[in-house]
Amino acid sequence: MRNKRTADALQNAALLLLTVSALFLLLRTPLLPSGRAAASPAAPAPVQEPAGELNAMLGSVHIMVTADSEYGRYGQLCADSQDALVQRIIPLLREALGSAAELEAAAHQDFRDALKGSALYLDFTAQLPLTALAACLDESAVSQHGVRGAALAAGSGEGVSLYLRSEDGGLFRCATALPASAVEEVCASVSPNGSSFAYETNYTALDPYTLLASEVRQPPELQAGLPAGYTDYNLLTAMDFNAHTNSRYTDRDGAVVVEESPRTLRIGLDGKVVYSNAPPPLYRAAEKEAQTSLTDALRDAWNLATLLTGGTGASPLYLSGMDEEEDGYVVRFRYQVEGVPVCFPDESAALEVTVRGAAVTAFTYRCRSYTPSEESGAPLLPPAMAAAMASLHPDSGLSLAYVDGGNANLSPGWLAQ
Amino acid sequence: METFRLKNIAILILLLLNIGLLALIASQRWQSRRVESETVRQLETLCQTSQLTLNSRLQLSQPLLSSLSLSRRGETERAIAVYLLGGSAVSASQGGGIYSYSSEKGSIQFRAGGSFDGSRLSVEVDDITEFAQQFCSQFGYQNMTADVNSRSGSVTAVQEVAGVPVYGCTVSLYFEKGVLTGVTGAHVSLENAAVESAGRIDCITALVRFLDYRNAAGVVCSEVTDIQCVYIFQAAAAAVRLRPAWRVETDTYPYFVDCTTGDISRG
Repeated sequence: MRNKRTADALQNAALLLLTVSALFLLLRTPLLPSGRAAASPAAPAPVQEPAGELNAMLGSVHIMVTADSEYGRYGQLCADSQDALVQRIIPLLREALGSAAELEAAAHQDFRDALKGSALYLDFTAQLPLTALAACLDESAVSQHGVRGAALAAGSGEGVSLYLRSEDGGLFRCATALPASAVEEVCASVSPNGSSFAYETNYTALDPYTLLASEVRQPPELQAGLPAGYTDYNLLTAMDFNAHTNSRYTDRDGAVVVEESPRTLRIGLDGKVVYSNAPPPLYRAAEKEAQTSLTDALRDAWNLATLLTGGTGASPLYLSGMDEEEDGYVVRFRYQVEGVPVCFPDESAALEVTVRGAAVTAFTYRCRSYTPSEESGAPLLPPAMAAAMASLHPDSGLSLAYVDGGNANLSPGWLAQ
Repeated sequence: METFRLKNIAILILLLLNIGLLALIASQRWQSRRVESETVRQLETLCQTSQLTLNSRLQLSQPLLSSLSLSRRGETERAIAVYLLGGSAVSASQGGGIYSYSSEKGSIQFRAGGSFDGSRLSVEVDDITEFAQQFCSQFGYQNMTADVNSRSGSVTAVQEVAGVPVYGCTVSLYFEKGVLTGVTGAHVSLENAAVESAGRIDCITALVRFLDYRNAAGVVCSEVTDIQCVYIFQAAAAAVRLRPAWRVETDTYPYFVDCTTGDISRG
């Protein structure tokens, strides 16, 4: 009897041991996922990037960097947000804006003197209200000054001076808490390439702060057209209309007009979408009782832009302007490809959104899709030649752009504007 | 009796299962080692044809690191400020994510990207080397190099997280006649760090990329003396990140091969 019990216990122990061993070995085979995390000092959960962040709408910029003007400047046209240099400058601009003291008017000569030392100059390629620019950088600003360009100048003191320039010639300066070493470090990491501002050259007819780059990369040729997702159904769904509504008709131009009183949506064959909304509101703007703030208007317009491009598969949009009106705001967006803006011959925006009260009351949208082409087109004119030609148009600036006149293929070119 | 037999059968089945699994694991390991040694052999042949020698002590089977997104840690900033400026250091927000700590010994600014900067400090130091060593050991800086003569000069060190050096995350302490006059550097903390993406380029692929780069860019070097997976500090627009990279030490300069993109830069 005792032997039987011992044998039974041994059997149980062997069964347990072999089961545990088999499970252990099974976990170490490729038959089951091992669950071993990637070798890393820390293995927390993956990051979920927050959607709809305003900083995604900031368009491309022209950059001018000066470490020591004796050796010249570094200039770069149409650098988008993925550019390594932009990625280094934007945090500095955010810190400078966030820590800025009170704005005061500045003299252009002081500004030009500041640009002779270690300085970073950004031309936003479009004038934006300072509040909108700050919102794009996750900061806040109380001033409503229009900003076309901003410069971070290390100067002779410990702190960096922030200069803000508007298209009408206004120039403002403020002290910031950003240490000069932060700007000097970025400036020292860039080698001069012989670029200059227009005021330093013989092209005095140009806007004085036009950035004349000595070398420009050749942007790609583009294939342009309506995106495959440009359908009535997608647009109506994206905008919370009833996609199966019978309140629609086709006008004599072939455009589909959908009326859901008081809202009207016109979807053109050429990709032009027009929305209007007689008061009372509205479409998807956050519910607010009073007049919406500039930041809220910007957010509402950006949400709409994201819905329209996401719903149709169109190319992404970037902020290109914002105006304050008596009872609301008009926010404009443009297309850009690899940092180079796409313009329309009538100089209209790709998306123009009107926000009144607390809602989007109207918008006009040109739904387009742009794809870089493998084909190489005619090379750009040399920058010096382009500057000479642009200087025939007084007070114009010089930039790169595509002009979309409805053709299937677009070539980059110089734009004097 | 029936139970006794059934248990024996179960033991036999489990025994066979264990033997089978062991054989599977052993064959898998043997195969991966064979592939690895074959790859190493091919790499050596490739290097030989390009007149590049691989040091025999190279560890080619090192694990890959993951890219990390970091959060700011105010407690560490305060600790650094207190260490350098004393317990009376008072913090103040300057806006834009810039915090300054001030005391009668000076002021240090800490920025959102993890960097800090203090000039015009006046901190009396008895023993510069000991002061710097204690600072480095308290805040995780290694590879300290001192260039001090007559109690004046500078000390620099590189931060390590979990034993991995973080290039770009250094500290420099400046002394004049036994007084700490300036500090500049960056510090990161792995607390609340989040894994963004695992690296894709292993050690051998990194060496092949380096070889291509050497041939294309005309890099002058004849031997790879060491290779190590390290972190590169990146304070970009979106966030503060640690990007894994292979640091390839040669008999001339060190080079970094990005573990995600494969981009190569000189150290």
